[in-house]
Amino acid sequence: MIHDILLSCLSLSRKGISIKNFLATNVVEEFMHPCERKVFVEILSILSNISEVVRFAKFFGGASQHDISDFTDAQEYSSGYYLKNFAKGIESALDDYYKEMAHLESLTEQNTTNSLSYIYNALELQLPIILFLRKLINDARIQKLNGCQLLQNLHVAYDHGDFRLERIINIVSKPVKLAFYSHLTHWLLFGVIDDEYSEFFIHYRTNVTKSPCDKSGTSNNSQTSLLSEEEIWQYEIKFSQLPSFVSSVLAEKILFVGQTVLVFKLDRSKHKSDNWMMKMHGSFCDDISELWDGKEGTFCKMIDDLNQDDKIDVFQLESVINQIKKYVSQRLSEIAAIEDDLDRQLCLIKDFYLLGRGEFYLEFFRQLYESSENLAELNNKNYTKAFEIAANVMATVDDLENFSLSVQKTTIDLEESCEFALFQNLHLKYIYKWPLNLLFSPMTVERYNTVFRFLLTVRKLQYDLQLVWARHKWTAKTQNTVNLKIISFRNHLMFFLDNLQYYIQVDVLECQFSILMNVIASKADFEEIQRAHSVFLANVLSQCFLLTDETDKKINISQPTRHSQYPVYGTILEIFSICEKFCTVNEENLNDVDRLEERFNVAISGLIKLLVSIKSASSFGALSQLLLRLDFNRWFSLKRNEIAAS
Amino acid sequence: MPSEIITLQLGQCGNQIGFEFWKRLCLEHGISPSGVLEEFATDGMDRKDVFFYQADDDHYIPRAVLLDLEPRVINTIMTSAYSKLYNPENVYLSKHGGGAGNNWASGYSQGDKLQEEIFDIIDREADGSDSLEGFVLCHSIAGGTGSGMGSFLMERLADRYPKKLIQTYSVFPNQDEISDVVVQPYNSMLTLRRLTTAADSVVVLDNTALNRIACDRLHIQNPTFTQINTLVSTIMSVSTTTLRYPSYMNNNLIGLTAPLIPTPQLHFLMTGYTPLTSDANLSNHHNPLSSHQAVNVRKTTVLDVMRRLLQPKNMMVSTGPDKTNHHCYISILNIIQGEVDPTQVHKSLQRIRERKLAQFIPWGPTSIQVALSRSSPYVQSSHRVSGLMLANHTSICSLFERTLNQYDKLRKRGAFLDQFRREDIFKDDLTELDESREIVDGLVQEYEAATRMDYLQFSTNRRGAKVDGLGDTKSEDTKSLHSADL
Repeated sequence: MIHDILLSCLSLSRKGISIKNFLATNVVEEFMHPCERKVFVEILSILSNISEVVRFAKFFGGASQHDISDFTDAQEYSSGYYLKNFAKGIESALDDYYKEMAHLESLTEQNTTNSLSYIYNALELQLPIILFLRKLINDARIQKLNGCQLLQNLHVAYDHGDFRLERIINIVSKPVKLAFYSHLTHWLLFGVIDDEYSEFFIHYRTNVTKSPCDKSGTSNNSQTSLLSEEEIWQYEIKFSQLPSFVSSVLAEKILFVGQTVLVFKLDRSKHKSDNWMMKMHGSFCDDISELWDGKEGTFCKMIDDLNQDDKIDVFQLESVINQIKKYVSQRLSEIAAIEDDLDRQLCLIKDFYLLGRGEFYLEFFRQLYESSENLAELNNKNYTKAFEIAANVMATVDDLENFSLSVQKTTIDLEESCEFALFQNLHLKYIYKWPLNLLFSPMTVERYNTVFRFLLTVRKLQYDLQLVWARHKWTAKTQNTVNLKIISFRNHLMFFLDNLQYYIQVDVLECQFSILMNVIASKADFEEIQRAHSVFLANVLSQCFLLTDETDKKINISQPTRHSQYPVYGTILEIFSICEKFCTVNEENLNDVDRLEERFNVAISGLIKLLVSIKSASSFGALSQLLLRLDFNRWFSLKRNEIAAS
Repeated sequence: MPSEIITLQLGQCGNQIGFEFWKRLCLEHGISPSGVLEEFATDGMDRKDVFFYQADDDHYIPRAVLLDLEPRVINTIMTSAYSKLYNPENVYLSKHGGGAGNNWASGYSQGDKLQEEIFDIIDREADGSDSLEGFVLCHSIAGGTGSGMGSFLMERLADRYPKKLIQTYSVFPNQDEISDVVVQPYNSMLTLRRLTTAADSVVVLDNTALNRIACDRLHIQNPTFTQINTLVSTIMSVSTTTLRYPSYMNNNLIGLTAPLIPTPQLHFLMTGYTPLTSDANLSNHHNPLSSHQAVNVRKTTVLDVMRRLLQPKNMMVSTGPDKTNHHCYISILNIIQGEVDPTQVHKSLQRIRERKLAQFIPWGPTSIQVALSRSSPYVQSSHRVSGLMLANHTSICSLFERTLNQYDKLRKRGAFLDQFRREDIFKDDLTELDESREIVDGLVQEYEAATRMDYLQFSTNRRGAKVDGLGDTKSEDTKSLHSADL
């Protein structure tokens, strides 16, 4: 009977314990002492615990799941390699237990007389481990832990006070760690996420609506060669999966390295002509090896070394990641500097996104408005065409080969038909040169476009007002007079726009741009450049008062008066709409002009008041710079005081 | 290339400063005296096409029309190294070659007679440009050709090209020395009328101030024409840099002048340039000063430049002492070149405002606009930062007042009027002179009024009066001012 028990101790994979039936027989009544019976029951309960653990380990860790066909809880667990490896870990953790049982069995075979309680003692010794394993399994089941979460759960159990349990947790987590590090290696070195159960903390966000340009159909087939730009940005950190031993900063770094690798894997056939010479020199032979330059072995070894450790050493991990990141970003800066004049690229950005080439946009407007008299006629094609013609006329085709202007369909309802609202549909696309992909995420491009549209609006209104100026000037030459009220109002509007533009171009753009260029000039590594670039963009947006989120902005444009949340931007928009109305107003009708002027006075005095109050409340430099320019001879503030006094 | 500008050089002075201007532009754009682009300048991103066009054989040819009634200066140009630069069809010399005899009326009527031939040239040149923006006229207001024919051309241009800007660089005579042209006050008065009514903006180049600056600031005892003209060419070239180089603002003539000229009449601009010591060696190798001054590059700051530009002594217009201290800036545009730290601009503006270094009009908002402009990579500057100011300042009317006074003295005596009566325009009577005086007087008053708070009301009244009573006897305002003058 003891042998029977031992046998069932060793084969716990089936549901239920066969020896349990033994209790039901009358043999028990006759041959067993109640004490023994009690011990037997105890043993059975321990065995049922062990059975749970074993069945889990066998089901997920075994070679085939057919061994245990009746494991009904399977769907309560998540699925994946981490779980599988977890099960394997548990199985190897059970080795001790099996050894103990085998030992017992051999003792029995030698006919040494051992009582039931001897077995009970042996089993009871194993109980804490079994309970511990059972708890881990239960955690995994109840929380449906998946992938890195599983590792996280194990990681929390590290440094268990109990020496034996600590040993066990190391054994259990070892295979799980392996899965983690293999994911990490794949991602860091090859930019591959082979993660069909989405277990890693970096995941690939699949586009629900696949854009036609995204040729992901083909990119799946031959991943190495065809990878569209958008895909790089579809890799994201999944914070729910992020184990606590990887800080979010570290995770960003890991993401950055992988994305860099991806950049190198991009389809560069279109850039081939650029760096063909480079290739001919034979300095770079393969896409990824171009990045690693023979170093991938070293880094692979480093990660492998990490894997050899019993535990996950957070500091060690961090230092390895840092080393890799540093290498990659420096390498990227080097290559960026070699293959591509980074300075030139950024200057192009400034020239065209940030309207540094005023004369080009002047020509753009001329082409746009002189060719078509009727504004309603303006459609998408006109914008694109005017842009291209202007590029031709200004002989800037070379610089503009990577830019294209298009009109996006958006849902703005143009009920008020502010013409500058049309500009909100414009989208300037920049085909950046490889390997600058990491600087220009879709988000960045969108932000550039926000600034672009704002600047374009200012520029357009300025253009219109200058035409009005010229008209007034020429009218005066022919001995006709223009009402001075109108002239004076026009001057105020022009003054506002001119100074707003000087503020943006000199105080904001030039200043921020020189900071960015200094960072690049100081031979910073690529991640520092990337960071400086985002700081640049963020500062530009905030100092142009554009830091509103997309939806709010769109509401504001169609209804310029409701702007409680972004008062400065709202007031500027109000003045924009006044400018626009003024340019088309019938100057015979003085009442209309008066009404506009009234609106302008309210808006500008509100703006000045706002700028003054914010300035005195905080030391936000940008506002005081704009205030200085607008109120240089204190005309607006004096006027405001006058109105207040009367 | 859009926004092209055609330069018209008229008369002795106009051709001289025009010549210096083109020499300077060639230097800045890397174009050789024969019009060929230099090797080092082939991939420049400058906008040569605003002032030049490319002939079929890749020569760069100035959009310039050279006009004179006497051959001396044009012959000098056509025998210089730059003779191949110009399109020979654009050089017009009157056949008799006798000049205008420093007589405005003669220049004016010769312009009338020759207008067909002249406008053949101008029309052809205008047709050759994509979208002509306007004309730049270089001339002097004191002589005969530049003033007389210039006046005629301005009127015709305004008629013929009603939607093009007319900017002039007008040299005002040196009033410190006795002129050999006795009828200079008449000439000036008659030209000033056209500058007021037919031009869109006038950059005043005052010989009095230019001479003073050459003596005091450049330490040249007796400045020659060439030295003075080098100053002028610096001003002309820097004031067009935003048109000739990529820049975010002020990319065309309208964009450059519109913010400076708030009301149609007040379009006379002063200039100032600093640091002046460098001017001599910028482009002119004839100047002996150049060799030892180019060595040290001064550490001038943006604030230094902006502050100095506000000092009257750096102004290229001699306005005379402003006793009542009531004159003020209507508008200012500073074009700053060189290695500029953009953050300095705001600080400088702040400093200037705190120290009240500039006085502004009380009737509207205004400020110092600062355009950071690129400068030519092919011209070495001995200063880190340099700046040009284009300013609309009310004190410029003192220049016109002086002209009025001189005119009145001459007119009261009825002196030298015979040579005017010989020409068609004065055949019947001298109302042309009286009308001109009235208009210039009105201009002076408008500038005076612009110093006051109620300018906009004044202006409205005056303008009404002008429309009703144009050609009538003097209005109330003119009378009162007239008596004050006497």
